[in-house]
Amino acid sequence: MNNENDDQYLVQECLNGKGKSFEIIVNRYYKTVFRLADKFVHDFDDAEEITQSVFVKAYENLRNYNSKYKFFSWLYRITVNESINYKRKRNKTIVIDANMPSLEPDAGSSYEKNELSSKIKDALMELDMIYRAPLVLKHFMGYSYKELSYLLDVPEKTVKSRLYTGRQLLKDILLRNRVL
Amino acid sequence: MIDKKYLELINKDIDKIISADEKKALLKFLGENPDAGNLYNELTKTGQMLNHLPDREPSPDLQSRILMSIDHNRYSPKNNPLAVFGDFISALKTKWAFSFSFGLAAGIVLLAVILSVTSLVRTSIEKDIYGTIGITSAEVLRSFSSDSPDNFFKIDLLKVRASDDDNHFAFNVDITPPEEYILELNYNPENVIFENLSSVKFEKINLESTSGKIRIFPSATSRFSVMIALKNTGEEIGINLLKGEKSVLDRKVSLK
Repeated sequence: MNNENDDQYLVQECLNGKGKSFEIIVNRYYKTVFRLADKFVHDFDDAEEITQSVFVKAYENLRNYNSKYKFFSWLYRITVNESINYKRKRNKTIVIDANMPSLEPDAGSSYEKNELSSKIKDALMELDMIYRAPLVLKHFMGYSYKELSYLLDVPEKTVKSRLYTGRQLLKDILLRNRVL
Repeated sequence: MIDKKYLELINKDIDKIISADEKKALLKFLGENPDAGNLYNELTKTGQMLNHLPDREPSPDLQSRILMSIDHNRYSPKNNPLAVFGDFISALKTKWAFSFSFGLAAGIVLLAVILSVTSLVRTSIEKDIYGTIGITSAEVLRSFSSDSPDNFFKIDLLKVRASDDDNHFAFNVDITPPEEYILELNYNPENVIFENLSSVKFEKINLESTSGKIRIFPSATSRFSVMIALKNTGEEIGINLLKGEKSVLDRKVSLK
């Protein structure tokens, strides 16, 4: 299928000097890459920086892309690596603004929803990246064990073990924080 | 302690890859073991909570920032003479292609002659913009430089043709040693937008609605570019290059 819907065609076009093709790829995937990075690092600015860096790395290494795999899987694999490396490089202190205005009473249910989401995200952040990554990829992207094995560059058996342990650890954190 | 086999079945159930027989066996086990039942409920709920976490949307300008940080000329055929040569040779494999190639070669020779004649009358120099993309051409409008033993810097102001509009400019900066300098640009925030600042450390200070200052600390890199998009042409930008506390260049330039 030689058209713009086919990522591999766009990659080839890009390698042939048609820069516009990569713009289509960026347009197609930047939101998903951002959301994935956001789930990994739970920080808006960091997630945007990671997203930017993912596409720069992908573009620079386009010749190394193996067409045996889906292009977006390769992109998500870079996202995983960038998120892991980013967090290693930057142990950021999160400052919570105590003077932040409270929400209006009629926004109660939305507030509760946001608070619950925030608690789940905080719990995820407590997990080591080796457990967080498979959980995020499984629950947000719906990947199979085999696909996770490629994305995380570990055998399927390890994927399963990390997924199960991660889920158990997350459950314990949620119980401890009275979220469950 | 729950049997490893049933723990695996619980996880397979959460991941929705459990078979009908396995599900039946799991439900039977859970019915007979209340502790396992509790664990099953907690893990299932954990999985559901993860499934329903809301997504956030990125900033509206993220896509353009990504595109600005990519070197679009990386795979340009002009940067890959071998590929061009290879294409040429393979094109010669057919008679028709030979005629076409001959015509093309003649065209290239003609174009080269035209370009060389044009370059004689042009006073501006075409330049690359460090680390940016989609630039079709850029010409130097002004240059400021010093190569004295105390200061070594070169700042080129370029008119850039980046897209359809005509209001893009760039400062190409080359400073050694970069960590000793701060580049201050004074501008009108209402009309001036800075585009590819991701490669440098900077701070923005908006003094008033019509007067802003951006301070760039080029500590990590001695060569960088600052892209500027104007809402209207004819803006004036103040350049102040500081070495420590001392100003080594203080100019105003008009962007036309």
